[in-house]
Amino acid sequence: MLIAIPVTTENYPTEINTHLGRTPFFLIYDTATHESKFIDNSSRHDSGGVGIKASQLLLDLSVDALIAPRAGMKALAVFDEAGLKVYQALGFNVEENLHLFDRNALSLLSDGCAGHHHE
Amino acid sequence: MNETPTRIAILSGKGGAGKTFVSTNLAYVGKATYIDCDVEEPNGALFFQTTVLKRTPVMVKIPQIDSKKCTGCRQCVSFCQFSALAFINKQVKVFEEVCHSCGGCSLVCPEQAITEKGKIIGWMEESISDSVHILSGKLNIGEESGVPIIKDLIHYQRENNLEIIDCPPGTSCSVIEGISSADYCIIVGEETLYSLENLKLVVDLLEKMKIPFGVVINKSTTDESELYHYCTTKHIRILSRIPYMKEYQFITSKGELLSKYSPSGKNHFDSLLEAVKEAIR
Repeated sequence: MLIAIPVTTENYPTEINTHLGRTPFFLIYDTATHESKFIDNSSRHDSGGVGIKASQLLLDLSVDALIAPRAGMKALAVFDEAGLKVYQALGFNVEENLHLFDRNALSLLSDGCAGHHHE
Repeated sequence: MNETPTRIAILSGKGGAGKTFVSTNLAYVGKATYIDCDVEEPNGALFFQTTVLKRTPVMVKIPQIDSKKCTGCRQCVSFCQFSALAFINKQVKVFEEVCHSCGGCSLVCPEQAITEKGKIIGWMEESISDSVHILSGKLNIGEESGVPIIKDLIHYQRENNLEIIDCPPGTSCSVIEGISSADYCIIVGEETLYSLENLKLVVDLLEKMKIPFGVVINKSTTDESELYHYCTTKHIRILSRIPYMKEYQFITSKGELLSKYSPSGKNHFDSLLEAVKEAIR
């Protein structure tokens, strides 16, 4: 199973980033092999639609689940349609959240936040 | 009246400088057509006792995907600069509110699987008060761009030889649409550094678009402001200086037109209109 987490750096040690669409990198963690991969979120500087683009990136990587502090309504719509589960991150520690996920201790993120307008 | 009307657009870098204040009063003294292009929050009509004549929906075109014809090549998804399309479960999903209606996706689709359908994004309202003809645009909540509404407002057929265009704040696409056919622009500024810095951006824009302009200093408390010095150094015409006065603020805060209720207030706008007419000539 592949789990994606928006993160601030492209190497360990790293922290969870709060903004799904504008996060610099995604950590892709494989629960079977315990291997981590860092993926560049190349559309993060686009003027709009970054949540949709980032979600598309994760779908194309065949990710099964996402752990994030929050997600926008449009990104959630993409994940919902694709059947990808989004879990609410607790705090910013990556390892801790993966551990919590492993123990089924993370809850599903249900409400999307409205888009932030960066004029 | 078939001659081309004189179009004066009112701008400011920042919100709250007094665009609507200047626009509505200028429209009143000039018996003009007042066009509210601040479609995200139109409030100019509040200053007039209006009777609504007509409400027209504003439509844009958005893509419609024929999933039987779609082969999943994703050319439309990679073409869209606004990420309005996503490819999920071998199907293209359209995010209507992000779409800018450029029509590019239907052009790049090699299977002719994309057609366009109409969608209402807002409204145009035409109304009258005693002497002023009012056109307002209103963008529906959640929609990304008001530019199509501003286009409709600007191109709407009407008969008046003077038009006052109340623009949104800033220097974005909607402002550019609003001033695209203006003969002259008035930038409304306050004597704060924040207002001045934003005003400089508008000056840059107007110089690039080669539209003649002048400045109105609103809520003025001094003859020696940074804004004043900036304008004189740059040889920008100061069209009017409207003082910061309790009486003026009081009338305006009640939703009334200063030029209707204050003779000295009316003087500012009579002479402003004269100054602009002279500048255009």
